[in-house]
Amino acid sequence: MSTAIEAHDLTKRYGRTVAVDALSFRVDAGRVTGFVGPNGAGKSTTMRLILGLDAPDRGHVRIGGCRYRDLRAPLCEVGALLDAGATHPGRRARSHLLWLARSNRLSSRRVDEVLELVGMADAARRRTGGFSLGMAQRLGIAAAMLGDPPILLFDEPINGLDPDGIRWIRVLLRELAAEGRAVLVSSHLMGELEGIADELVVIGRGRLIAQTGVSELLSSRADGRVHVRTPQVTEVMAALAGAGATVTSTSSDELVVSGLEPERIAALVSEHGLRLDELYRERASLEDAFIDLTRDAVEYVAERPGRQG
Amino acid sequence: MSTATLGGVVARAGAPQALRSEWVKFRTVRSTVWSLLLLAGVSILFTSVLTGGSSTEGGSPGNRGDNDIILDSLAGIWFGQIAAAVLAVLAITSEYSTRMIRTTFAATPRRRTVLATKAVVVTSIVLTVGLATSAACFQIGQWLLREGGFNYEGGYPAVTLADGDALRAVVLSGVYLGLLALFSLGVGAIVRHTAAAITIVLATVLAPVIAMGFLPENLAEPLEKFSLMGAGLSMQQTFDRPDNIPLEPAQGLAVVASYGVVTLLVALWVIGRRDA
Repeated sequence: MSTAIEAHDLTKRYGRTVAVDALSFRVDAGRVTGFVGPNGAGKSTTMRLILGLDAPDRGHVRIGGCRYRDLRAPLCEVGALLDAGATHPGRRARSHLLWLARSNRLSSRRVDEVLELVGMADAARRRTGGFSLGMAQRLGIAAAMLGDPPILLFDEPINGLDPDGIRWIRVLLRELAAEGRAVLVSSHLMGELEGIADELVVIGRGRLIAQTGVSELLSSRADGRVHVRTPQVTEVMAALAGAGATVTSTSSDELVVSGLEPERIAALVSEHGLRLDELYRERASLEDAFIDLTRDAVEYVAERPGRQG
Repeated sequence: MSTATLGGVVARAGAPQALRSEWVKFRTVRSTVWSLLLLAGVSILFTSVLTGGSSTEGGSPGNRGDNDIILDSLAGIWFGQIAAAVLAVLAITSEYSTRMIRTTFAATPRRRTVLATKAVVVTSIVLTVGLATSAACFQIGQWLLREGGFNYEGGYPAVTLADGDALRAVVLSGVYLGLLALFSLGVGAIVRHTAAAITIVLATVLAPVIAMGFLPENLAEPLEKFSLMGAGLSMQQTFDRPDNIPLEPAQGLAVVASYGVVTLLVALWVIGRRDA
């Protein structure tokens, strides 16, 4: 697994505000890396620093070991969707992609290919000012894919999409990673990244809170609790406690068991001739894991509500 | 990193690519065509109105009148120039207002290359259309002036583009428009805001002309010589008149070129130094 993007000690101030603060992380090829944090945490600033649009006050970013501005054909190394609305409203979709293609000596055939790829071939001649957010997002993704780059950055790509669009983009992101590309996707909602992200970079107040694999995060948090539903709560409780489990009753017909695997619980219950209506292992949701992870940052959310950016 | 090849051609983001890219940008927005049509249309319209409305009498073949009929026929340029300025400002500020500039700079990290190639595209197109416009103004203006009595019998020998002074005035009027576009693009790149940039450009062009009317002569003269329009007017002068701008055409050209070149150099300097 090779490192596609490496950020080291990135720091960026705007006036007195520290937008990004000593941030270090990496993005690997073949994985979807979720870039998560509340609004105003510094995600978009970090994306601009990666693309060399803003200059860091300290630290650096390397794209496959190079500085961004030294890339010979940036569109063929990094594709980015920063802001889907950032097109000239009077320019046709195809013309927008064409000027971008020309800037890196890419062919007009490639323009038609990416329009096809995002399902926008029919809208190629339309002016972008009339596009819905979903269409603008697709055009932005087409632009990011122009140079067939091994690294892709998407800033809040799911924001504002309809359910069809959300499903489309989730599948696309997984496919891009499966093709071996490094995909960095930012979101202020951890739930959006559930089932997409392999890796998480969590930031708050411009600082790194954690970089962790999603599976490691979930397994470290799930402590093996099993839920049992039965009409014979007292009897089952006694049987399982007798086998060394810690059992708590959560309602008149439900128990939460830790210390025993589901298979063992089922066997014990039937050995005692008791009835079992439902048995399932508790699964940690990414959202819950995120809340645990960012407990320290909750203070920040409460302190400065509704801050945008 | 691997060298990317798509369709057999090695991709790269250098100056030739930026030039082609800027040309696609320029020709694929409607405002370009509209502005260029306005530049030509308004110039020809005002030349027609001004020359069609003037007449002379009392002159004779042996008694040359003192009107500068070449300069008069090119007067429409001073009205059409606003379209050239707005076009050039929008070529850069529309990228900032739509935030498309970030896509541009991500695709071509060499920002000075972007601005320089944009300047080449905008200036050369405005220059080309400007030359055609000033030639058209000249032809139409001369015809209307002849009709109004500015002819051989009235003391005005016919002038054509084969005449050295006429050709120089027509060419320099087109060059003026190209340099004005360069200046406007530079202002747009420095302030990055459409309304602010247009205001600054129009104020630079028009304010000295307005002020000249109110100032005593000792203050008005430097204003005439070192203002964009005053220097521009001197490039069209072909006849010695007391109200002429006291500049040779070459000196006027130097002043106008300085506005364009200095502003662009400042823009090139700042564009690489700040966040996009």
